[in-house]
Amino acid sequence: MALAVQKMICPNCGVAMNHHCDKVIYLSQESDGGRPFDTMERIDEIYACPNCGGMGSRPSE
Amino acid sequence: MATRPLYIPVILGTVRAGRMSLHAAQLVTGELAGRTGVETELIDIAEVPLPTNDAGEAIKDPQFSDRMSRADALVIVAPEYNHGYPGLLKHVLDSCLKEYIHKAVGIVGVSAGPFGGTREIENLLPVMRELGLVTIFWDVNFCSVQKVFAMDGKLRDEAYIFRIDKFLKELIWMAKTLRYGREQISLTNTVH
Repeated sequence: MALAVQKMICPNCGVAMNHHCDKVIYLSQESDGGRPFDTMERIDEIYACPNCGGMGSRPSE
Repeated sequence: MATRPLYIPVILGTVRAGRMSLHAAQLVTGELAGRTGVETELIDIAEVPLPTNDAGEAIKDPQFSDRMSRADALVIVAPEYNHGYPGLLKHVLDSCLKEYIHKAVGIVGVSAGPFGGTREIENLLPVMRELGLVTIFWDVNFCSVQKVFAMDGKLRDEAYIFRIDKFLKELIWMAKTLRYGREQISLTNTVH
């Protein structure tokens, strides 16, 4: 997991954000390419800032 | 836990002319606004500028996206059209995704008939889940809505105030709980 490698820092507060969810992103939903999901998906890590509540995300490594 | 107020916008989920759901949405927004520690506003999907020649996150409206990111919970007020929810409500909701994750949602159904949008609410539940929203189990059902509100929007049946109070209490509890979870409980450090 990327969290173990590098903390996600809130761009507003500069504090470490909390990783609270992983979300499958179907790229075919974004492009409507109609290709098989097994080649068209990724997992994003979803973060929230404990100070301001701001959100962040990045692809899981 | 952070002491900043909860932000709980109310989404009016229909654009149809003459919509009585506007009165229901205004009533719920007013009840929310009167609660300590809560900020709210009414978001009318008719005023969210989205094209209809594309769909999904590709047409995201920055202002709507910012509001959804900031939100701790949502109230969706929607009428039942042909046993379903309005298509343009789905169009607007589909324009965001990560913005909704682990946030509470409560649904207010509206209909001219006796069921108060129950079928529309049931149809919305799987959509809410896929968007990452967490539904509460209280709903508000405005049955025979043309009798509940006068044409000027004045509430004729005060019993709805009690029902809305129950609905909002659970929604606020869920919003606080999920905010704590989002900001304090790590997915990767969960005890097994």
